[in-house]
Amino acid sequence: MCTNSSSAQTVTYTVSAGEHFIDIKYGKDDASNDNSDSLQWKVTSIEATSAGGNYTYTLNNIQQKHSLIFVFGDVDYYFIEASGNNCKLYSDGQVVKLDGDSYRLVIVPDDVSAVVTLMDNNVDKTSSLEYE
Amino acid sequence: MDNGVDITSQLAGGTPSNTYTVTNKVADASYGFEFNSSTGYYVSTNDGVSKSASVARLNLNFESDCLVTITYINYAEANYDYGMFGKLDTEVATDGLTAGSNGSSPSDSLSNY
Repeated sequence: MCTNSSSAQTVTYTVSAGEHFIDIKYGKDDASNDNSDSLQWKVTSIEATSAGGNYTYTLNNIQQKHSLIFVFGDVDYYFIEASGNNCKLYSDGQVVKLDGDSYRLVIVPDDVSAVVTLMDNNVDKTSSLEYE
Repeated sequence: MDNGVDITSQLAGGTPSNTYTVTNKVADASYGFEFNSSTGYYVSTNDGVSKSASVARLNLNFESDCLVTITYINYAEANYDYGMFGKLDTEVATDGLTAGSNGSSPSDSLSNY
């Protein structure tokens, strides 16, 4: 039940990824009560939380050096899945040098709604990121 | 000279999308909520009608986990009129309130809210 008040109140829901619904109701009693009271509501914010969100960037059959620079706000962590022995992600500026291997960068940002950018060899590849 | 590979076709684009829609009046409900474009609020429409209910549905489609905040203003006669938010993914009764021992209550379980 909502708090009866003419001033604005808030209610929050923690919602997992996927499709969901919330029913909202304003009920009036069965007594003689014909007042013009009402319920007003609106969604004021949807804030993405960190759980489950990550971005991936995949390079297959790599034939040249790739320099990757990514900005994901505060990054919780990142890791790579790679074939071969030459795939490495260096800590100094996220520069990777590979030779004939495949490479998949997985980045888990602290806040998935943060500004995201990814440069690959100085080309903006932000729109090529895959979100999981 | 090795010019590398074009990786564009190997990548799926996209950024997380978290959206919602509003069903102003759910099926079987006698009244719904009207959107007030000047205030941004959805407003119940069963004012002046005893034993009635306005029921709307907020439909969520999220690609990531989210915290949803709803702001509301509830003008209601204490113990007789109620603004109610259902639990997530729980259908609520669409009829009005029935008299209880202490004022009125919904016809379905309070655990739905």
